[in-house]
Amino acid sequence: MPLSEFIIGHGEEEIRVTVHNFPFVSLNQRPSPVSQISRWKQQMSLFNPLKVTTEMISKGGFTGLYLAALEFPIAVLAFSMNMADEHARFLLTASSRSFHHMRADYTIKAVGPHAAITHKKQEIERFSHSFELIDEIPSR
Amino acid sequence: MINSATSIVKAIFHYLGSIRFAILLIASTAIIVAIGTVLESVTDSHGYASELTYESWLFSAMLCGFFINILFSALRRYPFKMRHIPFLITHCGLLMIITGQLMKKQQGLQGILFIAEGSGSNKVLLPNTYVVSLTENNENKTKYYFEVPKDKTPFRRLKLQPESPSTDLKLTLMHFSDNTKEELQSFIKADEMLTLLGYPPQLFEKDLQTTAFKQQIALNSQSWNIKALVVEAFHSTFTRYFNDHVSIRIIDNRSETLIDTIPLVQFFNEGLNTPYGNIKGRLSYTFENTWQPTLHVEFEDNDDRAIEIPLQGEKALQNLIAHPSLGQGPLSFDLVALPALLFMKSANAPALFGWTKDGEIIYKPLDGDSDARMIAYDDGYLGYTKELNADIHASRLLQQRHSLDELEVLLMAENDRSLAPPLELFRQACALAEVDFAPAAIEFLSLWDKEGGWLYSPINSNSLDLKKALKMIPWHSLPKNLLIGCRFTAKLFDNIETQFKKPSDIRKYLIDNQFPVSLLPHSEDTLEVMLQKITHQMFAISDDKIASLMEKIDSKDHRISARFLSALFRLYDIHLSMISNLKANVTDTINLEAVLKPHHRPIDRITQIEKETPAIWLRVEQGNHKEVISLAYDRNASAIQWPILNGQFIARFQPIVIEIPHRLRLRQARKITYPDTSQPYSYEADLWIKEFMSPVEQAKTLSMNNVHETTDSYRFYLSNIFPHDDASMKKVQIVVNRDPTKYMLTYPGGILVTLGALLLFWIWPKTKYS
Repeated sequence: MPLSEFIIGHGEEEIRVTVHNFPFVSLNQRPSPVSQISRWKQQMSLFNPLKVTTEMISKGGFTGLYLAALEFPIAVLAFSMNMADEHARFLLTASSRSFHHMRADYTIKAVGPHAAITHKKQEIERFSHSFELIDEIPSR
Repeated sequence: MINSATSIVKAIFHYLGSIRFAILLIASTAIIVAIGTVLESVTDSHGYASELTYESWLFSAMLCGFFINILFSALRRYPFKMRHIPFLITHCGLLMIITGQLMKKQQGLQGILFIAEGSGSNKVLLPNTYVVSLTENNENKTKYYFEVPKDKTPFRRLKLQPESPSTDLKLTLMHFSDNTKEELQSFIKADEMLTLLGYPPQLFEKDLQTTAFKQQIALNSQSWNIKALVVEAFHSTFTRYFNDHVSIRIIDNRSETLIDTIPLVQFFNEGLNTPYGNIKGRLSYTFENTWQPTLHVEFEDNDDRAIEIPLQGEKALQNLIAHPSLGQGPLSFDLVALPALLFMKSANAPALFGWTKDGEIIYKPLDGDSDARMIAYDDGYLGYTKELNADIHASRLLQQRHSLDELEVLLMAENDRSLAPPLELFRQACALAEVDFAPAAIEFLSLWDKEGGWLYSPINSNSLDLKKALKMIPWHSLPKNLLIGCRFTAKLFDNIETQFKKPSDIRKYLIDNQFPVSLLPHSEDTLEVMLQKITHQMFAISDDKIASLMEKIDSKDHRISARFLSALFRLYDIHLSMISNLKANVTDTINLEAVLKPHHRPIDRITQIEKETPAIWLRVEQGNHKEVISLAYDRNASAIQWPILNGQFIARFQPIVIEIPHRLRLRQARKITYPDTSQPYSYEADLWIKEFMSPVEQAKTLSMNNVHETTDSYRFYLSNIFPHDDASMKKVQIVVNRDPTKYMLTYPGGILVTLGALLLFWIWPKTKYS
């Protein structure tokens, strides 16, 4: 179940933006961004490497991958972000319960018609980049 | 008398306010600045140049001299008249600027702040200041900061910073070194002792002729001999130990019996007489990217039977023969030993050598090797260790050779999927004969491998189950061309296999027997490739015409069925050597752990003082507990902290930390590149900046040319981003600067100087002349 879902536009121009979070209690159980991206490519049949770009991204204490597949009838912009190991390791050993709630990775995926996604690409990217935890991640 | 004193004071007063004194000061300043510039370019060190010039007491004295000169030159005009106004305004401005500079030196702030993406901080490090930070192992991780005396005099007590909570800890400075070499020692301590976690230290011995072991350790549920040696050359010492302590076991594959087990040293010197001829061995070492030791076994009367046994790496301990697909050969060789580890030091870097119970050789360099892991116990309070991992590949190989359990699992797994046609045919036969498929298939493949040959001709008796299964093969269910192919291939190989072992002989035989020229294998093909091609061609050309030329064969004879089946297996590349290759990825690992501790050695100072590493030696006391520790200076206060007083505290020697009334939180740091290149154009950092008294957070983007300044005179410069790529979380280094007198003295002083100069040189003369 997604954490939240946003609809941009309506009818044939509808873009569905879903945000999932993946809480973790150990470093080993976290799915890697590479496996998430591969799963999306599989699910949406995004097999043409000339039409799909994947780039590394780091922001807000998270690192991951940004998938852009625009040259398809149903286009996809997706972000798979894992909390940086340094932060995750600290939060796993922190005693405060409020810190435990911060321990999660997240994905943001926007799926919609090619024209609508292309038109809204920058807004969707800005929306994704605005994602950060409400409280700053504690450090040593 | 009074007059003369007054005249002296007057003379001094006039001199200090004179143009001569001003020229002296300006000339001296020019000389100091010139020296500073030359020093900086010669030493490539701003720190060194500024320490000797701009930050020296002499430079501060010159500033005071300027202040006095300007003040006195103004006072010399007393009583002031109207025409002195521009002059006085200019001098007042200059005095304000100099006062501002002197006060900035005393009360200003120049520090560094580090933040990671997602985190925030208001703690600024003050460069070139010294403090010892202790963090207590309690729930709040209470921090105590002790100031190192500025004069660094030994045996002086370090003062607890006023902001720190009170404590009964006492720190005494024993020694301060301006430049130190820090070594992290783990397996080899003080250059003379081997230290393994859980075992007493062992002194390094000189390499004498004896190879006896005295000490053992437990690793992976086995007892390992260990020894620490100082050697002249690694390989000769290791070879001596290896030959003395490892034995070779010679197995007759045909009869599955053990021929003999003899020490390697005997095998190398004397060789061994076997039913298949005299054999002898030798050890060789080659270097292809890495060290590759190999055991060679040679048959005196047959070069083709030579066997190579790699002793390290993926293929460790496999008996590599020239033609594996023709079976494993008459003899196989295993090594047996008590496992051992040799820590050796020579003039080169230290290294770990050893061998497993199966004779696989272990080799690991011990100097800063990249695959060694550092482990922190209880966040460092219980210390750190270095873990060395060595992969072992051999244990699964012996399993392969002595038990075929893994192969059975593999075949059972295959049962769930669709099998290759020959295996499916054999499974049907097993079902008809009411025999378990997997064990029968394993027996067939392993006997074929043991007895050798491109096709299988049973020499030893098969088990009853296998015989029953072979007799029940439903050949009628096989497509006709495949059945003919089996017969034709078997017939052809009856002649080829018994007579020829070289590709050239086989090719000649095919030509002599009018084999179609277009189908002839290439003369440069290897034996396996040639036999593979011939098999495929036999099946390809098999049809009814050829069948009519062949005599009727009783396929109910289990020997003939075995031969037909092996021909069909060859068509699908099914042979034990192929299946074994599928399982070549299982490894085991041994882990060695040693306590990691820092060791500091004072070294000569260098001119690039930024690259020096100061260190302190401290005596730490709490109640009855006392400990002496040494700590190297951690400029960024980010390296590991070392445990003291039985893990009650962790300590670090670092710059002084002060808290500023602004909290910075880093959202994202990025490198901006020129379009379509990786050339950096700019570096940017998006921040939230919040003043403590204000409820509002400001979003700001700092870049190399975009500085943020607060209303209370704090300036934030983006100084560095690391790492530059997006694969990992980025951190930024922000320079924090504060000049508290800037708005009160420096800027107004500048305005006054400008105004005074305008009046002095432009407005006032015009008024006067008009």
